[in-house]
Parts: sequence; structure tokens; C-alpha cells
Amino acid sequence: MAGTRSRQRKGFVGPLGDDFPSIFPIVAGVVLFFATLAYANGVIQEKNDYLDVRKAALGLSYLVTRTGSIDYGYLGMVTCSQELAAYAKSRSVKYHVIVKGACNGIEFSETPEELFGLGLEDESLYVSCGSEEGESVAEQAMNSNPVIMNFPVAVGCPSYSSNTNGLGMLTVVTWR
Amino acid sequence: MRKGQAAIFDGITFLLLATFSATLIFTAVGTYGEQEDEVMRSSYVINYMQTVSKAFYHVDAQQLAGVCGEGGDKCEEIEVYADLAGKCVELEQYLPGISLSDLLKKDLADPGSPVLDDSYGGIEALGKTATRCAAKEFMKPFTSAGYDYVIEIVQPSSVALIGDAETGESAVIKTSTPIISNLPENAKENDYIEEKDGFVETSVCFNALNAGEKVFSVASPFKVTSKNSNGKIIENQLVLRVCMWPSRQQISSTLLRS
Repeated sequence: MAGTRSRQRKGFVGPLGDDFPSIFPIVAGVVLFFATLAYANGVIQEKNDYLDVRKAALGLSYLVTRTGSIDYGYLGMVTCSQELAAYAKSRSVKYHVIVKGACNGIEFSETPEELFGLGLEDESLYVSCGSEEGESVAEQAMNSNPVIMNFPVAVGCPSYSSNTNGLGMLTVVTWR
Repeated sequence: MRKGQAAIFDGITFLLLATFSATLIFTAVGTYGEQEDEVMRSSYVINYMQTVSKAFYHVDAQQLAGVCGEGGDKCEEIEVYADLAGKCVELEQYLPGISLSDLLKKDLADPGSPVLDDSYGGIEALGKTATRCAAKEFMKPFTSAGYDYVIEIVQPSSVALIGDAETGESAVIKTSTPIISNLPENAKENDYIEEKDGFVETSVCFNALNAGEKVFSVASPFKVTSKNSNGKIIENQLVLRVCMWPSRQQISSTLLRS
């Protein structure tokens, strides 16, 4: 009888000793699950933020491209300072609108400084406005994962005060 | 099974379940927002194309003379625009205030049925050329990104989209070649451009769509006033259609080069 009981209890190291090894996979499972949830939450938040900025960029571009031509005075006085500012504020985004005349054909800006017109010698075919002012705006925008949208527009050519319209490119830069 | 073995089995099963759940979450997160992003990208493309057709109403034809000229692209080096070299400069002859759309409408105001062929009843009206010069520049961000585009004028009153076999009426206004597009010559082999005696009478947009391209299209009313053979003024309610799609030819040639 005694021999049978000792056979049944072979390998038994007590109630804690028996259950202890199973704690490791359980803890690992719980940690893995909650870590995944936290990561997913972060990624979704980030994607939502990006989609929000994209939506705001589209909204801003609808406002500024509604006519197909850009009147520089109207852009600065009304579109930018009133309509775009109010819309951007409601969507909690910052923006910069750049209009470049390209009378002989459209050329792309190769650097952020060029896009934002920093150090431009001839300003007769360039106008911009936005929620932020100063020379640091290019750096600020480029460091904030901006959404950049280009649109073709008719602008004054050969200079922005001309009565004739030529080719131009409108760029809407939006960031948060 | 002994008690200790059962407990570790439970633990491992729990870990497996947690791993499976984590995999599901990763998969869901990976594709989250993709459709919304796709919709917004399409909205941008469509807004871009709408802006192109709006800008046609405001750009002065005379101001397009600089395209392919000094300070512009060397068109003779670009296969699809080679014939524009020395052609856009001819637009200098038009007076300030004559917009691209005015010129295009003049081109389409032929007595009888409209033809897009740079002439108005035998008199030169460079509407098609002006549109090609403007489109070459306006579509540049997309053409350099590997898109093909076509701009065509459509007769919306026609029942058939690609032409009515019985009446001979065509939905697309007859256009002389080269059409307003960046499609290379070899596109003819893909049946996108159906040329007949120097004219295209079928919709290239429709052909591209039929070939399985992902076509974005924007159409806007384009009223043309002309005189009929009796000298009576008639209004022709046409439609200006801009189509664009990611080029498979560009992709395949890029792949071949790499």
C-alpha cells in the first residue's frame, strides 16, 4: 500500500512547485497581448492624425482652387487670411500656400527652401501666405511630416501684376 | 496527465492564444486606414484634374508661346511632344484676352459637325495645339510620376459612348492626330488610339478603361456656339473630358531598365 502511494506521488513537488512553471507562459501571454494592444493604439492614433491632416489639406485645396485662377491680392487679403485661416483653425492644422508663376513651363522646386521661396532673387512670379510667418516656416513644416499638394492654376504672366494669365503652380503645404 | 503537466499545458495554450490574437491585431493595424487613404488620393487626383479644366478658361493662349521655347523644356527630345517644338510659339499671334478655352471653342465651331483639328472652317484656329501645350505643362506632376492622360471633347447627346454604328455618329469629337495626350506612339498597338486617315473618332478614355486601366475621369460642360450652313447660330452642348490612369507601359519599361 505504502509502495503504491509513493508511486502515485512521484514527481509531485508540492502545490506551488507544480503550478509555478505554468506562470511563465501565462505572464508572457498577458504581456504580449497588452503590448500588442498598446502598439496598435499608437499606430492607429498616428494613422488617424495623418489622415486628418490629409483631409484638412484637401479641404484647404478645395477652397484655394475653386476658380482655377489666382488673383494675388485676393489670395492674400481674403482667401488666406480669412477663409483658409478659419478652416485650418477648425481642423487644428498649420498651412502654407505657395503660388509660382511658370510662364515658360512648370519647374519643380528641388529643396524646401526653394519651395518656400527663401533667398529668392526675383519675386515677381512668387507669392505665398500661411498660418506661420518667418524664415523658419520651411524647417518647421518639413520636420512635421507635411502633406504637400500641387495644383495647376492660371496666374498673372509675365509678372503677377500683368493683366494676362499664364501657367502657374499652386502648392498647399499642410502639417500639424 | 499529471497535475503539473496539465498546468503547463494550460499556460502554453494561453500563450498560443495570445500570440494568435496579437497576429490578428497586427494584421488589422497594418491595413487600417488604407481604404480611406486610397479614397483621399483619388480625391486629390480628381481635384487636380478639375483644376486643370478650370484653368483652361483663364490661361491666355498667347502666354503659352513660351512652352517648348527658350527657358522651357526641350520638347524635341521628348518623343510624345517632339512635334510641339516650334509649334507652341505660334500661339504668340493671338491677342491678350483670348483664353485657351476661347481658342478651343473656335476650333470646334466648324460649320456642320465639329472637328478638333486646329482649324475653323479652313481658317487656322490653334485650339488643339494650345490645349496640348497647356496640358503638357499642367499634367507634368502626374506624367513624371508615370501617369498617362487624354483630353477629349465628347458629344453627350450621343447614345453610344464609342460611336453609333447605324448613324455613324460618334460620341467623341473627331480629332486629328496627334491627339491631346502623352500616350506614346506604340499605344496604338494597345488599341487605345484607333487612328483612321489621320483622325481619331473613338474614345481613348473608354479604350483604356476597357483594357483594364484604373481610369480617373473628370467631365465639365463645354458649350460651343457655331453657325450652321444657313448662317443660323446654333449652340452645341459639348463636354470636355480629362482622363488619367497609371501607365503600365511606364512601369514595364522601368522594370526592363532596372
